[in-house]
Amino acid sequence: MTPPATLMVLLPLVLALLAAPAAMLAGVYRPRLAAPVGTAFAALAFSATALAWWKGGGAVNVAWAPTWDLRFHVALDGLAALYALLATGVGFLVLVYSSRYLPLHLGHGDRPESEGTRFYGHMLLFMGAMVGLAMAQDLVLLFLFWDLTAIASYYLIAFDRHDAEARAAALMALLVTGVTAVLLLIGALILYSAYGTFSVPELAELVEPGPLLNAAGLLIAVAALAKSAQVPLHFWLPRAMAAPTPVSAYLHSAAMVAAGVLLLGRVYPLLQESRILLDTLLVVGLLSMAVGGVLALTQDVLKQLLAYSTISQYGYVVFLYGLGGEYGAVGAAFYVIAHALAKCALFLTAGAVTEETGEDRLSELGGLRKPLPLLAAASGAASAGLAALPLTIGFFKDELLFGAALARGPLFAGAAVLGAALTLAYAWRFWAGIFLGERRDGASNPPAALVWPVVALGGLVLLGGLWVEPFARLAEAAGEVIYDAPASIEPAYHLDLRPENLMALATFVLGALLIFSRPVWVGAARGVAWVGGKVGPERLYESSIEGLNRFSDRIHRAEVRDLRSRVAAILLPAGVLVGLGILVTPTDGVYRAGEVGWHDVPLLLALVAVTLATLASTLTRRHVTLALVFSSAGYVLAALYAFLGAPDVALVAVLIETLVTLLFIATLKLIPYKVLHRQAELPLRLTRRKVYISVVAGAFAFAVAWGTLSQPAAESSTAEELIALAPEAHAKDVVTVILADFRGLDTLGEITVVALVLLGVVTLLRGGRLR
Amino acid sequence: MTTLVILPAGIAWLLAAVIAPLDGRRPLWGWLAATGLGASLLAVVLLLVRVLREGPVEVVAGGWPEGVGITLRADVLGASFAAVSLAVVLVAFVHEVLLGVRSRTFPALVLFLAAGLSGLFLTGDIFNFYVFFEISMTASYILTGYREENSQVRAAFIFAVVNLVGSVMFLSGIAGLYHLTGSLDMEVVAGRIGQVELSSIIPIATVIFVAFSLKIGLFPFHFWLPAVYVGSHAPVAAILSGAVANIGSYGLLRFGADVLPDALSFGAPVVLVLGVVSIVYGAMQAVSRHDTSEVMAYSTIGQVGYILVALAVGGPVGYAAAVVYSIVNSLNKALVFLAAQLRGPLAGAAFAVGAFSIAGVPPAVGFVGKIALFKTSIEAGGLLETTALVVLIFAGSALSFVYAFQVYQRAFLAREYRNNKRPSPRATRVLAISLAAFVLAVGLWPEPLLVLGTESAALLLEGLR
Amino acid sequence: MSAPINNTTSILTQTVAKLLLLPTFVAAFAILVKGYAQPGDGFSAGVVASLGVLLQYLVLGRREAERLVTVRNAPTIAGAGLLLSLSVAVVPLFLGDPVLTHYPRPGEDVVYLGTLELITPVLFDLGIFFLVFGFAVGAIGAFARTISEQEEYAGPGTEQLEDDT
Repeated sequence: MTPPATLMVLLPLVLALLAAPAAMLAGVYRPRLAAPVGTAFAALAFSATALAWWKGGGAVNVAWAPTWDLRFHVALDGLAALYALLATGVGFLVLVYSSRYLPLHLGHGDRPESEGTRFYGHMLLFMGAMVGLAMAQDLVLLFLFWDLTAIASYYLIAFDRHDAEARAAALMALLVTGVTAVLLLIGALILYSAYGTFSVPELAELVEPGPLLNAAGLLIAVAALAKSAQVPLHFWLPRAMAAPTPVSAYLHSAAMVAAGVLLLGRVYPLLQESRILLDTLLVVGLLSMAVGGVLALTQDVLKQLLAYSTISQYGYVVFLYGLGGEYGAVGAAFYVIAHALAKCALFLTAGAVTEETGEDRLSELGGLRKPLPLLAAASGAASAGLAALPLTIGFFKDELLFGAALARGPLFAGAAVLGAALTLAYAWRFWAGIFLGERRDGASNPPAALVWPVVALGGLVLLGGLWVEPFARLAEAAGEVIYDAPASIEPAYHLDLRPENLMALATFVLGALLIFSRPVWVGAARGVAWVGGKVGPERLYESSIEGLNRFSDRIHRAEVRDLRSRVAAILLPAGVLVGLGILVTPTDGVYRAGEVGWHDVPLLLALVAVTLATLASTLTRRHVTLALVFSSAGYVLAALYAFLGAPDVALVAVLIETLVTLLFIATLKLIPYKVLHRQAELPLRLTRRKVYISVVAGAFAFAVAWGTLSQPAAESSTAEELIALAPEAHAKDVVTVILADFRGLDTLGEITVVALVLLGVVTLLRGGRLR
Repeated sequence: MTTLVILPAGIAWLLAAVIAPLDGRRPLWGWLAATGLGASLLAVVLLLVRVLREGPVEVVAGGWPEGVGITLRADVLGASFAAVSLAVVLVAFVHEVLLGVRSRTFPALVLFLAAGLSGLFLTGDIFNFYVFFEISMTASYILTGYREENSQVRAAFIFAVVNLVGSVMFLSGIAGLYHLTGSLDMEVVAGRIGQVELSSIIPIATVIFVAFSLKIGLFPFHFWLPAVYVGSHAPVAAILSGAVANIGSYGLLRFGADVLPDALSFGAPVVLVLGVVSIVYGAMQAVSRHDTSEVMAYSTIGQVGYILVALAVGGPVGYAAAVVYSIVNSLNKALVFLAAQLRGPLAGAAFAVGAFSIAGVPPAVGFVGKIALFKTSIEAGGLLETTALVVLIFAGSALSFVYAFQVYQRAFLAREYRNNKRPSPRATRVLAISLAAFVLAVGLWPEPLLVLGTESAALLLEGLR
Repeated sequence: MSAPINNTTSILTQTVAKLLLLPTFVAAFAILVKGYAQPGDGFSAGVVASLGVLLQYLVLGRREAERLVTVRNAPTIAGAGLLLSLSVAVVPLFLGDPVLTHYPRPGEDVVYLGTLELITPVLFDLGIFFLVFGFAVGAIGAFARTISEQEEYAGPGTEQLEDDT
């Protein structure tokens, strides 16, 4: 690939990724500058994407981490172009909207303008991550951008950080999407272990149907479905409405939630090898359509209604994936475009309305068509698009849906009609609730920046209804990547009684029925919502987090805290481990004692003396006596060295013993009398436990020593070499020469320890107390 | 230039002895010590580059033949650990110098610690290892008591008593190895231990295992750890968890995989079980803790479990994962302990990078460690074992999300508005954010880290043949 | 500042203790010097010398003992010892030899000064001697100071050692 072409492909990604730091830097310099700079970058990234796509796209594939076969492999194919254009294009409009919305939002909370910088930084990080995600072909690279979107959304949802609800919502979104992202990683690693590559195109050629693919595919699908807020992992999305409205608009139409279906599209060549996986998608899609649709009809808060609508709409996309085939693949891509334009417009409408009136509930709103005619018209177009009325882009999305469902069978066709009717009903409810009816509240001239993005989006929805060609071509190109084969669709208006048209008609009738019969079913729908709230997955999430914290508290109370138990907690398991080791290794002839002769008598006597002294130490309660008993054991050992012909070791042992005993007694003077007294008066129960622990520790030390010593020592010991070499080092006494020469480094180290102890003593005692 | 092997320890050692009598509270001596640490780090990095190119470098102290004198040996495993540990010590120390050193002896102690650490990672002699180990541990005991508040002195006392038990165990293990093989040189011991009956090696190997497990704070030998990490001053906690704890993981790799491979493969099931229990236990404990340091202390207990699992699975993938994870964990813990106590702009961002890294969220380097572990468990063998390990590591990582972000929200996100505390000095925040940037950079380009892991694993497995 | 001399310690004991100090040092020096021929080295020498100082503390009390120059400078002596030993270890590096190479090298001739061989290990040992001596005296001093700050400890006999009875 020639350098200019590489540059062409990379430019959208680079611009999108540079946008966040650029806006942050500008914001640090002047808070006012963050918005224009960020918006400019979004526009640039959009143009670069469009240009590169128009020039034919391309790919960049270079080694990233060769040790693990990770590749920096990005491509601007149809799927990437679609999502990158959405992320940058919708991003641009949302940023324009934010430039006016955010100062108002910050004004409500008396927050400084500089807070906005943070907002733009995270919004643009989101955009960059989405572009990267759209282009990534390597599963690990994809995972990286995937989590980057999770980070960005986390901060955006928690933008009102003083609000506990916003923080909890952000944490929930992060936990649901972040933890499931790990499943994506596991799925990728399973595929890698089987096929030796992380590249999606390469995997598409290699995979074979089977349990391995099912497992990996399912893991990846769960990650995608959680991100796209599909049942039963949908509950984080309505909560995420705690975010400022532009964030919600972006999150729902072009970023976070769209990322899930983007991933499904990206790995679809693998998924479609497995019937089970497609059927799973089908079921999840249908469930989400139903749950989202029904709950959307019961919501009163504008943004909540839209949130459940999103769940239901992405349910359609997942349903289309599940149906599979050419129509399913292209239909899914087309659906995402149509939904993004309409949904973004509706969210921005909700934001503008709430900003103007101070109300965010349908029950408190109405009649705004007069004060806000332009907004009403634009938003009406968008609602019509969502409801799939003719002359909007939405009509074609449903046409594709019906076509794909029909191909599968009448049952699925029926489900599609039902779902579409639900959509029509809540789209009407949203728009009519705000703009029709009695005027409730005053609304003046809204700022242009709050209206024009909605108008632009509404215009696009209408444009798509009149001239569907560009959108269809884009969806086709994306569909070819998803389907991994040539695909074509010809959406058009046909004035005949073909099944798709009949289904659309049925939808309109059914939708109208739903709208007018609202009083009949609304109670039942609210009941469903109430039950869902009581036993649904959100409840499960909350109670498991609570339970986790409670369980954690409980085991924390069981942790040992006092020093004695801390030491015991090491000795006991260590003893058990050694015992276990001895039990499971063959022990024939290992633990044997040699013959005991007369020359061993002093040794044995000394050992008896040491044993007696040690036993005596368990009987005394006075600390000084204890010290003296211990040191007497030390002296006996020193005497042993003298017997064994090591006078210099004996000399050092005696000297050290003397010094240590004196220092020990001196230390006792530092400990307050009461503490010592308390220790001496410990209840018998504790003393007994002490004895048990000592016995285990002693037994374990004995086992180690015996196990070692009963093996004959190795034949050519270093010691002999050392003795032979002593004269070489100009010395007669081998111990000295070992200390000063052969192992001088060890000696140097040991005297350093001594120096350190002095430093420590001086440091710690300078305060005058040993606390 | 075989001198390079002794330089990292030598520079710090000599400078420590020079600085010890001086008043370390004066910035001049603080910066001199930091320069010394920097020089040591530079030497280690040069050494690392060299061993990567040309293989292990060795030199016998005193110019004696091998076996008589002490062999100093730098290989990629030791040099990697030395580099990351010294880097953590340097950053934590500079942090404290920027805050203002409060004790005369602090710089000297840190230098002694650095000397001990670089010495033990770069020696080829088991007793010499013990000596350097004692230097670093003694320096750590005293450092824990730094600032001399009651909680710190108590922490130092617990730390010293419990770890002295560990030292005694380790020493007896070394004595046992010497008795069995008649040598203190690691290579010779590894060569001769094959002829010794397993029943004699197992108790010794167990003792050594316990000693190192104690050092890294593996369940159930962890009871000292939370008290010590919570009690000590933040930069000291960063040093303890980011540098001193490396002794444990290095020791387990060196003594387990390199010197006593038979015992390790024999005990692998136990190591695996302990690792898994530690993962779950540490993470479970961390969930409900409120204090940032306490959460991170328990998190450490969980994270070392991963290292044990990788060690138990072994092989090129397992050993590489153990090395990679140890390094990642060092960086993470150093970052969170340093950032946790800071207040003001950038402090939250630095901590957040650490939290994301601990939870394994890219591009922070933690995800590299997570991938290494999942690769390891997929390599573990049977379907059942693989599935169980994958599920457990997944559960551990899910819990790490919960505790890392619960504490992040409490300590930073919720609090940033209320500026009730004075912001920390700008320089310390810049330092923390630089460390965070490094954590991100390694995550974005993990290749060097992976090479260190792979090369170390190759080295350890070479010993097996 | 007058040294509080308690009644139970007789003048004789005090005199003997004072007189013993110098011989202790001489003995320590002997142990150090003959190390390469017979048992003994810097370490033992250091302990022996410090026991001599410890005797001063026990018999004369803290204030009197602290008048000794060696006691006041104990940490410095220890540091100097460490530096001396470290230097012996490091100097060969500058001559292109491995760390801790001693001179003269094996096989080369040695100059004798009585039983004292003029070889670098002796310097190394001397460093150890200073360090051990400095450590022991410094630690004793630090403890003694701490104790007397708590209860004006002047020497044995003023109270019982076993205060936990």
